[in-house]
Amino acid sequence: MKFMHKTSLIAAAALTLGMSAAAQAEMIDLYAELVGEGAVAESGATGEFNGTFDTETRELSWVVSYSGMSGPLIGAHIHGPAQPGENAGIMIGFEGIENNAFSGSEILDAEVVEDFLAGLYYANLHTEANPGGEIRGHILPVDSGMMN
Amino acid sequence: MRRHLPIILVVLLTTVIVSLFGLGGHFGATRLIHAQQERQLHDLAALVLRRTENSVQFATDAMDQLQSRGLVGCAPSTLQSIRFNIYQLGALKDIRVTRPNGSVQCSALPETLEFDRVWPSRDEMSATADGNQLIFKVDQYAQTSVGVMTDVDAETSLVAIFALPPALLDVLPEELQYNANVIVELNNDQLLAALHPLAGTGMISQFDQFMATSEQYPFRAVLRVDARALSNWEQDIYWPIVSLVAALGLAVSLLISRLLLRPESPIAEIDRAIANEEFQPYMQPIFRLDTGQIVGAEMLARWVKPTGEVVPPFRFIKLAEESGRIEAMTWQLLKLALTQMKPLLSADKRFTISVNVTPHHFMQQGFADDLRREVHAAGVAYRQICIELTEREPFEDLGAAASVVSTLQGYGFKLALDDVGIGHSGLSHLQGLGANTIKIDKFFVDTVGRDATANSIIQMLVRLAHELHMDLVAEGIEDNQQMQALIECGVERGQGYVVSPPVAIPAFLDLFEQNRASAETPASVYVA
Repeated sequence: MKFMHKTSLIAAAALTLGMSAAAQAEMIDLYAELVGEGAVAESGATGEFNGTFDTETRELSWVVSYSGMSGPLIGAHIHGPAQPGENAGIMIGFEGIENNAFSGSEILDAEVVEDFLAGLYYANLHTEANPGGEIRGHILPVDSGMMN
Repeated sequence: MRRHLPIILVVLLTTVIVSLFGLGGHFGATRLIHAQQERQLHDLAALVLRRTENSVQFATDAMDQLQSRGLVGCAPSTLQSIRFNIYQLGALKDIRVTRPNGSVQCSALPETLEFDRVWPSRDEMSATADGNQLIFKVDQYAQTSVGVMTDVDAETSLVAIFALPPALLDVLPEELQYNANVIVELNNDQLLAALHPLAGTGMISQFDQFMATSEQYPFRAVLRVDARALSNWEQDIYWPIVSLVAALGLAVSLLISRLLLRPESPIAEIDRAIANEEFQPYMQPIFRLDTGQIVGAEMLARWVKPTGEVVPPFRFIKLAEESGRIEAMTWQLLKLALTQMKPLLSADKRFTISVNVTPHHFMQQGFADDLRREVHAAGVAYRQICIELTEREPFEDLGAAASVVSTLQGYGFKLALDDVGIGHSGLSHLQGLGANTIKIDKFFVDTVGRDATANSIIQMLVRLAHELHMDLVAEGIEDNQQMQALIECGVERGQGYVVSPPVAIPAFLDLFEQNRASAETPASVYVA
């Protein structure tokens, strides 16, 4: 996808995270509950984003599942950076969205990692009835101690 | 008149020429129409391209304005000012602040961010020729838009998003609208906008493409038109052109036909007839009035055409004389006559053939020698040939003519004066030429026995001939009364229809044989 950099620069990632050069690599669990917000709060559809982020490789992996949607997905992305209730541009587009559960992985750009782990990115699932997104949720680290 | 080509060939030729012209008209009209169509459709593609370029320029100008007013950034007040600009301009869908790599920092209308299907990175965008902007496709739900990115500084860029509405692409004439599509696409083939997209898919099996490519921007406008629809579009001038050219072909073919069917010139016809030996010697008997015995014949020309038609001499002799063909014709007739009459001439040494010669021919250098050579070659005695000279045309030099007469007579040839009494020269020829025979014109014979004057003239000619030791032949005798009257006037020989019209030599030879067989029979038996 668009902001995926294939080169792996562990030191740069560590600096971006404000960590010392000697900091250890860590797998961070991520979670987002996907629900209707704003105009589509009463959608009734639900979903989950479960992911992991490798601080060494900056690889983000995810499994997304959903149910009760008004129709087939026409798109599903990770947007950001944005505060809750705000909108932002696409960072990652999910694939395999025709299934109720889909998974994938991407290498994040170094410069977005800090905002990403700060919960400024959200997953959004679009349907024909709700092209702006039917369910969405900000992705947050499950373990708040990841910045040790 | 003889024609060069049978009419059926002319009809065939006309058909071929008209068909060829018609075919040429078809190709010409088709090429012309195709060229017109090509020009029109290229112009229409160029129009779409120009409109698209204007849209890009509009978006670029809008971003330039924002920059000039310092309205670049993600602060709420800045975004509000940008939104106000979008609202004012109307044509833009959003303006976004991005990083130079293309990732979005903020949007004036952030809800539209959720409508993006994908968002490209900078390396997926196409640069303009001057490198100042990047153009890219913005794939959105339910719509495709165009993004124009311009760099503000090393950290920030602006992207204007707008759609190319159907009206912008609606340039096709009504006849082609549902048989063609109009496309604006990036040079990397990414579709930016399309009108009548269905027409460009399975509905068209074969299409003609007309393209206009931008010099400044990395996109092009393309018109894809169903070839079958194109073949029916703007064909109004086809039939007029084909008809006009076919009519021209008809005119040309008529002109050629006229040339081909033009009657051959009479002189050319005579030349051809001489070459084909169509002129044939006919013989009219000269007979004794008292016994009816045939003693000679006057050779007369007849034109026997291949069709069997026999053309009388008054229709060609004058022209042959005026065109200088009479000499060749005379020699040819004489040669034929001598060949065919040779047995008779050999059998009857007193039989004489009279041959008409014009004064002009007679006076030509070497005539006497040519005649002698011709007659000698045929093995005929000179004395059996009598040259008839007409009195209708005067000799310019009577003395010279008399000299030729004398030469011929020296060889043994005989000379007769034709048309005596009605010519221009009075009796001067009679006196000066020293001819052997006088031929009394039919003019006097017609009224002999009924007109005392005619009788007197004939009697005078009889006495004159007698005194000059000349023979006398009356021409144009048509009945027994005339023959009887001529006998009473003292005329001894004659010719005319009363015995026989001029006939072809085989018929003459038969007649001669019959005449000899009844040599003692009175002349009246020959009266038709």
